[in-house]
Amino acid sequence: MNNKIEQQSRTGDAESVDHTISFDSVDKVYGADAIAEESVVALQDIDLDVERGEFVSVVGPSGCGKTTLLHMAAGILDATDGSVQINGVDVQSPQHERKEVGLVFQHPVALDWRTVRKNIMLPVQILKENGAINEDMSYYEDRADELLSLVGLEGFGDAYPNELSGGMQQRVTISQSLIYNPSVLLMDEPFGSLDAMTKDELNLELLRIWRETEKTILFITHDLDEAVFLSDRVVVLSPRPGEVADVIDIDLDRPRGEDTRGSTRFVELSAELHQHFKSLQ
Amino acid sequence: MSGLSERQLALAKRWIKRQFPTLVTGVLFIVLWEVIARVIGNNRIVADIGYTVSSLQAQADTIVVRVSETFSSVIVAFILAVVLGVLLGMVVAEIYTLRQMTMPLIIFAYAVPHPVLAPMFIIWFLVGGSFTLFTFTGPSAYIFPAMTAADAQIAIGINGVSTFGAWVGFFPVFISTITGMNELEERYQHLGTVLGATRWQMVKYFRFWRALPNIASSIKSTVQLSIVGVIVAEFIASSSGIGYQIILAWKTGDLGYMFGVVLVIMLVSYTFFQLAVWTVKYVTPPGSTT
Amino acid sequence: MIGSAVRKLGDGITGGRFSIDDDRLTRWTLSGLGLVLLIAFWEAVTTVLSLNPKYFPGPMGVVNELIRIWPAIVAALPNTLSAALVGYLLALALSIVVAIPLVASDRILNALMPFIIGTNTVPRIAMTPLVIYWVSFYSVSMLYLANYVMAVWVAFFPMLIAAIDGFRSIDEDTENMLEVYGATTWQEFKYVRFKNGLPFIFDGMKIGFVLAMIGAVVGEFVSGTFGIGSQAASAIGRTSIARAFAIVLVLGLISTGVVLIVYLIESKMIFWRESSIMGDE
Repeated sequence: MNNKIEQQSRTGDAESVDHTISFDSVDKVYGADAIAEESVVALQDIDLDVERGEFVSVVGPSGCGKTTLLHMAAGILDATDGSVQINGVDVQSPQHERKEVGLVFQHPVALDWRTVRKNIMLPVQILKENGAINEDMSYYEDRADELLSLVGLEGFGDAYPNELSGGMQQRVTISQSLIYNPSVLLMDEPFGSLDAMTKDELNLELLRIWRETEKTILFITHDLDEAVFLSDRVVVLSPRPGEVADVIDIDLDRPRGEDTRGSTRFVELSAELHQHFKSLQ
Repeated sequence: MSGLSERQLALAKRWIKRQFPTLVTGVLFIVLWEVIARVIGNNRIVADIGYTVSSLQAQADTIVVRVSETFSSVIVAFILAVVLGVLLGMVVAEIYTLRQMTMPLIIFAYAVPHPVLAPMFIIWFLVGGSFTLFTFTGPSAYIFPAMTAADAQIAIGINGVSTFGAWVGFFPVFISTITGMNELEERYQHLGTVLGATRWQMVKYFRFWRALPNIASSIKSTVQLSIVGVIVAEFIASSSGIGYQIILAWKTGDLGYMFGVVLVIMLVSYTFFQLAVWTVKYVTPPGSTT
Repeated sequence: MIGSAVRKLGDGITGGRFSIDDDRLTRWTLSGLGLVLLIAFWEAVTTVLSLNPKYFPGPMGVVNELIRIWPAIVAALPNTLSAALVGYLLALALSIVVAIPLVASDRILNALMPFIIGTNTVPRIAMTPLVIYWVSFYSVSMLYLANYVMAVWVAFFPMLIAAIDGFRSIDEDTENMLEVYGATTWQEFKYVRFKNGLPFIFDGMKIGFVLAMIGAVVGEFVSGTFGIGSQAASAIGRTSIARAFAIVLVLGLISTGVVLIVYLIESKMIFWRESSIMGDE
C-alpha cells in the first residue's frame, strides 16, 4: 500500500529498491531442451513484486502455474528465463540465505515418528548442521514453546501427529516454517484440505501471527473469498500459459475479523474478483 | 477382583465370544487327532497323544538343548539378516547407479530356491571354519538337574547354519528398506530442498524413517524365513539343532518322538514369531501407519 | 516385494533433479554393465588371489563344472521339476477351491483363519521327514512322491491366503451393492469375487512356484531320492562349490523363467491393473 512509496523515498531511487520477493520477466518451460512439440509453457513473462510485510495472494484456475510460481520462489524449481529474487538475491545463487524463506505445504509435513515439538525443531536441526544458523539449540527450544502457544497448540508438544486433527497438524506445519524466523513465508494452499470452519479459524490465526511477526507472505489459494479476506493484494493468474492477468488491491481495513466478511466492501471486492476469474475460463 | 471394572469384564467377555469358534475348532482338531490315532491303532502311522507326550518327556533334556541351539542360530541369523538388509538396502536405495546395476542379480538371487544354496554355505564354513562369538550355559542346565553345564553349552557363532538362515531372511527386509526409502512423499523432498538439506541429512531425517514401517512389517517375514533357513540347513548339515532331531527320529522310526519334535518346533516358532511381532508393535510410535 | 522395488525404480526419487536420464535404455544398460562387471570382478579376484578352485571357483570354473555335469543335471531335473510343477499346480487348484467356501461363510472363516495363518507362520518344511515316513508306508519304491507332497504342502498355505485375501477384499460399496441386488454366493463369485481375486492369485502364483521348488528340493535332501536337490546335497560330500554353484545357476534361471511366464500371463489376463515382476507383499 504505502510501503512501496515509503521505500522509494527512503532510498531515493525507485530502480534500486530491493523488493522482498521479486519475479522479473520469469518464464518456466518444461521440456525446454526436448523437441519443441513436447515443451509446456507453465509460466510466461511473470513480473511480480512483493514488498516487505505485504500479504499477497495468488489465485487462478487449476493448472495455471500457481504452485510452480511458489516453488520457484522457494528455490525448488529454477526459472527458464528471468530471475526470481528474495531480498535482492537470486534464489538460485549460493548467496541466497535459506533461512530467510519458509514454505508451508498443503498437506502436513509433520513426520509421523516425531512428536510435535521434535517436528518443530526439525528445520533448525538441519539448518544448524549446515551452518546456516548459529544460535544455541536451547534458544530454539524456547522458541518452539513460544510457537506452540502462538499457534494454539499448547500442551500438545509431546503428542504425535497421528493423534492430532488435520487442522492441528497444519498448525504444526506452520510452526515448522516459523521456528527459524524466516522473513518470507510461502504458503501453498495451506488450508486447502481442511473443512470450512477450521479454515476460517486458521485464517484468523494466520492474520494474527502475521500481525505479530510482520513477515512477508505469498499465499496461494483457490478460495477467492479467502484471498480477499487475507491479502493486501490479489494476483490473478491465467492458465496455459500462466500469466499475470490482473492484480487487485484489497483496501479493507485491518485488523480484519469475523465481521469483515459481511462488510459491503468485502462483498464488492469478492464479486470483482469472481468476475475477473470468470472471464478467464 | 477389585479394580476389574464393568467395562473390562464386558470387553473380556466379548473377546472370548469372538475367539469361541476358534477355540472349538482347536479342540476339535485335538480330538480328531486322538480319534484317528486310536482308530488306526498301531502307533506306526499316527502317534496318539499319550505316546507323543511320553516320547517327549523321555527326551525332554535333549529337546531343550537342541531347541536352544536351533534358536540361538535363528537369533544370529535374524540379527545378521536385519542389519545387513537395512544397511545394504539403504546403500542401494540411495545410489541409483548401484541399484540399476545390481537389480537383476538381486532378483535372480531371490528367485533361486534357497535350499540349493544351503550346501554352499555349509561347505564354506566346513572348510573355512566357523567363528564362535561366545558360549553360554543354556537354560537346560537350570531346568534339568541331571544335566551338567558342559552338556548344556550353547555356542553363539557364525557358521553355515546361521549364515544360511541369514541369507534366507535377508531379502524381505532388504527389499522393504529400498521400497520404503524410495516412497518418501514429494513434499518431504521439497521441505528438504527449502531447508538446504544434504543427501545424508535427507536419509538421516526423512528417508530412513520413511522406511521403518516397511522394515517393521517385513520383520515378520524375516523371522519366519530365518527359522526356515536354519532348519533346512540343519537337515543337511548339522548333528546339532532340533532340525536334526526330526531326521534322527525318522531314521530310528520313533514316531512318537517325531510327532513330538514337530509339534515342539511349531510351537516354539510360533511363540518366537509372536514375540517379534509384539516387540515391533511396542517399539512403534503410537498411531503410526503400520 | 521386488516388484514394488522394480516398479518404483522408475518413479522412485522424484523432483525432476536426476543427473542420469531415467529411461529404459539407461536402466537396461546399467543392469547389463553390472552383470558384466560382476563376472569380471569375480574372475579377477579368484585368479589374482589364486584361490583354491575347489572352494572358491571363478566363473569359468563354474561354467566348466556345469558342462561336465550337464548330463547328470539333465537326468535329474525332470524329477525335481515334475514334483515342483505338479505340486505347484495342485496347490494352486486347491487354494482356490478351499478359499471359496471359506470366503462364503464368515463363521467358518473366523474359526479357521487363525489356524491357517498359524500354519503359514510355522516352518512347514520341518515336517519333511514325517511326510517321507508316511509316504514310505504307502510305497517304498515311489518314495519320490514325498517330494510332490512337500511341494504342495509348502506352496499351498501362502497361496490359500492370497486367494482368500483376493476374494474377500472388495470394497464396502460393492459389497453393499451385491446385498441390495440379493446376489447369491455363486453370483458374487461369478460377477465380482473371481475377477477381483485374480491379481492376488497371480501374486501368490509367483511366490508359489519358488515355494514348491523348495518343498521338492528339501524332500530330496532328506530322502535322497534322485533329483536336483540330491545332486546339490551330494556337493557337500565332494566339497565342490563349483558343482553347488552350477546347480544354483540352473535352478535360478528356471525359477526366474517361470516367474516371468506367470508375469506375462498375468499382464495379458489382467488388463485393468499394472502387473509387477515379483508381486507385492
